[in-house]
Amino acid sequence: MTADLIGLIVGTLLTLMVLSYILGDNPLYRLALHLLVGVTVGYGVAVTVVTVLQMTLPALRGNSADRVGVAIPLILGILLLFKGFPRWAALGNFSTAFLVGVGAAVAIGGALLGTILPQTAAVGSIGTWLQQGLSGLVNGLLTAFGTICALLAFAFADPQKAPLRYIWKGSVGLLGQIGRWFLLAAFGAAFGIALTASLTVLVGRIYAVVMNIQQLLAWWGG
Amino acid sequence: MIYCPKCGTANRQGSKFCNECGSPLPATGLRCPTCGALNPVGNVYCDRCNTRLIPPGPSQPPEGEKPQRPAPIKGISLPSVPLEETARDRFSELQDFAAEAGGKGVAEEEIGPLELPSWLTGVEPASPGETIVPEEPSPLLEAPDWLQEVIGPVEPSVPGELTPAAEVPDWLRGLEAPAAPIAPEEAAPAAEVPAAEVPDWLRGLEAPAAPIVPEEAAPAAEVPAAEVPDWLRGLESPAAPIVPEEAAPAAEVPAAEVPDWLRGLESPAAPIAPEEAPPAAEMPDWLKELAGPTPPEGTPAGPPPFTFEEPSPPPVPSQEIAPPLPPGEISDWLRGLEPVPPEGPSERVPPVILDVSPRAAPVEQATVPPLVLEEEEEALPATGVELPDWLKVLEGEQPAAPPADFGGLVPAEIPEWLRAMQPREEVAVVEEPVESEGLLAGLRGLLPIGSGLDMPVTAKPVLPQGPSPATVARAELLQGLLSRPLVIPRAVPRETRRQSGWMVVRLLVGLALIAAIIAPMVVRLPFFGQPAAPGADMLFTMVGQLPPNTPVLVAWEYGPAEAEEMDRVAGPLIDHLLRQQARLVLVSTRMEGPASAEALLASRLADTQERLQRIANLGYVPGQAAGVREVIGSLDSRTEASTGLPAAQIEAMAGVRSVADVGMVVVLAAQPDDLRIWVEQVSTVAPGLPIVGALSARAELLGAPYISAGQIRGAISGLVGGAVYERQLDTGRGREYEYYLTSLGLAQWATAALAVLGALIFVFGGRKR
Repeated sequence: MTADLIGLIVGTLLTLMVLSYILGDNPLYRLALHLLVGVTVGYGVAVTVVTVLQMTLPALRGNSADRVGVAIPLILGILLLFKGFPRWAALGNFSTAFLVGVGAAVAIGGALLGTILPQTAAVGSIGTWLQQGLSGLVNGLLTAFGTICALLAFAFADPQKAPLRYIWKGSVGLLGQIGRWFLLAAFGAAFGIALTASLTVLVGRIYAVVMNIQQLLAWWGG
Repeated sequence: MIYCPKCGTANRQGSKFCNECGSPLPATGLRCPTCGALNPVGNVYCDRCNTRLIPPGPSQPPEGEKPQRPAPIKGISLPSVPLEETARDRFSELQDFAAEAGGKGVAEEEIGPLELPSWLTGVEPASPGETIVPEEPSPLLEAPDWLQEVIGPVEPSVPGELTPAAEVPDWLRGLEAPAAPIAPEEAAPAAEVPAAEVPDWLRGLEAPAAPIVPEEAAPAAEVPAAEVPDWLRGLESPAAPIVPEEAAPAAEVPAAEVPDWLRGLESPAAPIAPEEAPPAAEMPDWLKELAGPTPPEGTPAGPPPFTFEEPSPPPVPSQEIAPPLPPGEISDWLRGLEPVPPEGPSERVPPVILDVSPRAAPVEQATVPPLVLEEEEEALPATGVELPDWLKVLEGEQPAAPPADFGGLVPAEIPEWLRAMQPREEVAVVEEPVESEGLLAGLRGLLPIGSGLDMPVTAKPVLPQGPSPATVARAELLQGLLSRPLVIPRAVPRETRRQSGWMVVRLLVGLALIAAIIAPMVVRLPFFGQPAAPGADMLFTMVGQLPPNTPVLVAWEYGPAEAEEMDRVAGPLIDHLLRQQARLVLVSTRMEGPASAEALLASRLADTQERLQRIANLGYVPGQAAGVREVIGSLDSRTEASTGLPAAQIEAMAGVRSVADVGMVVVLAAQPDDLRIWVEQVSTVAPGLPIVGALSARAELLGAPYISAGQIRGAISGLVGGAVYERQLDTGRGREYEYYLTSLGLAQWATAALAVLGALIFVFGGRKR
């Protein structure tokens, strides 16, 4: 019995144990769930040790530049461990501040230059729409219209004076209602995509189980 | 200035509390008998109700009255209250007067002891060379004992001076029983009292119209100044009369027997008729001497003879002194005081003695004298030299009042024993609490005392004798509940049916989905046509245009959980890249990413040497966006995960130091955020670098705007995209993709059918079903 065969058997059994949830909560499902969580955590720790520590600490034996480049993150990481001790938790604030500050700066810069500005420029470029033909134009107009309506759907305040109130209700209020339909369609599409992804996983798992059983039967038959 | 009765500190006029010790200071003012308002000294009428505060001026004395030399009544004086400013001067003047009178002995020689009432005789100390011969046994045997004690040892007196017990006036009866309440009906009507019974000397006292002549201008030849005591001069002054604050109630003394001016003191509202002025002839000689100088005739009725505001120089007795009156003209009440005519019934109360009233007697509002001086604390210093020993004992110790300049007024003196008999209001001084802590320490009465603090220290809580029946009942009920055996409630059968029903429904749904998924494996079902993926063609073109040996950065952002889908999406793209001889540099921000990459690549590239030439797995990059930013800037500084060698030593990493050295970035993302992070960071660091993607169906929504904007040059998503790309690539896995797509399509239709069926059941069957 080879390791691949053991892998097939274990994989098949674990898949069936998870699928037993169709009948409700049961010990087999719980056992598979606990195994998944435990293996995931163990794998994460192993990856961290092997990928980060084992590949980083040897640099301390290098030149001074390598030592500084490794020592500073190492010290910050050690200080972060003090967060587990309330009396010394303040020592970890330096590491936390460094992480939050650097992460926020990188994320904000990337979002600004990589998403906001390009997307804003793309929405305004009618030429891009026309390059894709009529469908592109309709798609672009629909995207722009849907974006505006979706934004107006969150305009909850309205003027109280009579003339302006009626104008507001007739324009912003109406567009906001349309925007809510756009949001409804977007949420429905997201749900459909999530359902499709789940069904895809289910299809793959059932396909894997069938293939494994065929292999086991082939091995059993010799 | 107001001197503190406790510490003697001088305080400003109007102060209520001592600046030194905080003790309450006596207030000075005239209290209105009608409304009770406190008026400043000098007010004739009340500021609030316009009631006259000072009695009107007395009637003029009759002409021809000889001014009598005042009898030196020692140890007793007319009721008056001095001002604190002039108390010291009064004291000194009284001392001078006492020395003068005692040295010359004029008063004693002219008046003689027989002219004094017996009780006053007893009060007066006998001169050394003078012997008082009692004519008759003292009628004081019939007097009450307390009065005998007040008077002192009974002097032998003439029998004719005996006063029958029935003739004891009411006010003396009041003295006899100080605690007895005095009924107001005892007061006689004012109309019944003849005005003629008022002695002249009292008229002299009430004559405010007497011209005030400076002492230097007074004719000393007729009336020697030494014969008139200074304190009586003070009484004659035209200023406002000084009356003790609380005099005897009018109900005790018949008002008709009181002189008019004194009646005016008692009841200011009562008009004083001039015709009721008593004739001066009815005054006895000894009283005339007591009365002092008579004001001249025609003196208009003016203000009272005493004043507090402006002390005037002591008035000089008038040159016309009222002649002594025959004993028969003396009023009855004065006869009782007169020692010579013993038969005179002393039913009238001299107003001078009005103050000698029981202290504890209740004072009614109607009996309050009209003029009340709010100064009880200041006492005139007593002339101890003139007091007998027994009175000195009664007098007690007095605080030494500072002598004050009274402007010539003779300070009146109230003996201590007489003042002690004055009825006075019992003012309850509530000792307010003193702050002992904080900034307000030392101040009084800042915070109210809580009710809890008012509880006596000795108070003890009263515990109930036993539990109430209701408590016992509750305790028994609780005990019964606790002693009851624990019974686990069984599941309701209806719930069981519902759970089993739900299980059946779930089982049916699961079986339907499994059947829909397995059916294409058994039977080939051409239900679905060829899939279409618009972005697949562009992606296929771009990858196909890559020159051989081009380094490609692959972001492997999915794990085993998404591998069933992502392997079918990313597999064709990886196969295409390997077919194009591209060198793959693998990086992942997920821990399971490198393992998933190794699993896929193991099935694609089994040769280890070729793998090292074509693939460099840089492993897991922590830090999300920061990690991506860091790794794309220094790809060669990392370590290859499968071999443990530095990335720079890997052949696949040749010439690759950063993201700028690669020809394409491929993002294999199952989560939308991973795609966004890679697009943002790569677009920021290398804007022109082409980015392509193989996305899951979930990440397709987020990737669409980037694809439309051109930030992602080409992408495939989901099983459909993978199937389309596989069909274009034609790696021999087309049947597998066909099965996947058919099974997925059937499963989606089954799901939709089950959802519609459930909705129909809910709509037509009701919520319970």
